Amino acid sequence: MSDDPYAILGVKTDASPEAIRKTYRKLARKLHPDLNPGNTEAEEQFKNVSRAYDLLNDPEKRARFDRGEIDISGVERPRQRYYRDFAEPSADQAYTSDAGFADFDADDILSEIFGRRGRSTLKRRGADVRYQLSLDFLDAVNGATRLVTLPDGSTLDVRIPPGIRDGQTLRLRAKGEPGQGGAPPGDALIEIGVLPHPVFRREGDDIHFEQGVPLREAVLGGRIEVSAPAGPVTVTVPKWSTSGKVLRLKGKGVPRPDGTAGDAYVKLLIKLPDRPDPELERVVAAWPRRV
Amino acid sequence: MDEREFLARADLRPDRLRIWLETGSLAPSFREGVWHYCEIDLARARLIRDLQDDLGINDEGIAVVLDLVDQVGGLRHVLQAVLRALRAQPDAIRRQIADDCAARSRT
Repeated sequence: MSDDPYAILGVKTDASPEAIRKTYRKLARKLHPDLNPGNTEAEEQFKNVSRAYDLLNDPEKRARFDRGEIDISGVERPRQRYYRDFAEPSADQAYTSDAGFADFDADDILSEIFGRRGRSTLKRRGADVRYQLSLDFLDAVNGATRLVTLPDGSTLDVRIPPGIRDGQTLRLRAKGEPGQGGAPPGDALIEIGVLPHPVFRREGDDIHFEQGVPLREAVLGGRIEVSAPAGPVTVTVPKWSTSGKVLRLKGKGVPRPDGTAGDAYVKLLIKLPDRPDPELERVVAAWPRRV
Repeated sequence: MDEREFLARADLRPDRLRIWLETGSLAPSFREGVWHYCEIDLARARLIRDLQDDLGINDEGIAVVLDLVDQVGGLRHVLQAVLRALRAQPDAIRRQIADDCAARSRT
């Protein structure tokens, strides 16, 4: 057996990658054990040809071989078993087709001997079906359950996992079209659309929103209650918090599948009392003007 | 084996597997809502990869090639069984059947 990959493939040492690929394809067609189930020598030859091709098809390996740095034994294509090892011993395996004698008489000797069950054993997985589902912003963040009506009239409870994104697709295994020949059904693919929210805005797994803070807490600091996407949260407003200051609420953003969550960012807006307050006006009037 | 192990052993990306399942190139068994892969599915996945990556056969061509490979497998299986049955016959009968086959295949 030759150790020269060029000789194995039968190409010149200056052959172009394209020429090498063409030659390999021609040989592989002839030698691939699965395409030549009757050729018992094919496996060894194919292994050899594949090794040669793996070496010459990789410009870096080819250059190293040309410089004499590596030899062909350095290239081993791991291979456990070929498909043909399974395709023949039993006619009952999943993929065997009896379409090759579909035109033989139904009552012929073959069916007596082998008790053929059907004409064709074509197995085909059912097609996937696609749906679209619109979700409110908070349902997408917090998770929800939605009833989806399938084309055949049946309904399906779809569990929306918390934190789902706009444009994400949920795959419901085996809820698509039925399969043929005992093959499994397809999947139902549900494309999720998330409607915008008047207050909350999502960026990645973080939530951004604005929150009014009374003048007293803005000036003196204190605790206020804010409504985060998952519900009310009490936050501490530091002394001298002016409008535009952003507080980070760690872990109050969008839940992630691994159990952690993004953060919520609250932008504070100082809010004056709803009605004019004469006392406040007096206090501010007495407050010295500084420029 | 489950899908995760299958993907790892077949060195396959999930989206590629998805296409093969959708086109019926791969038909693992499906029980209790889960795909179950066995060794033959693994060997078949490698064959599909050889056909696509090394032999340049496109997605549409794969189904044709696999169908023919499966037909040849089925025919070989039946032919082998017939030949085994023939070999068990007495010499005279074997010779008679062989002559008969030869005569028929000439017409």
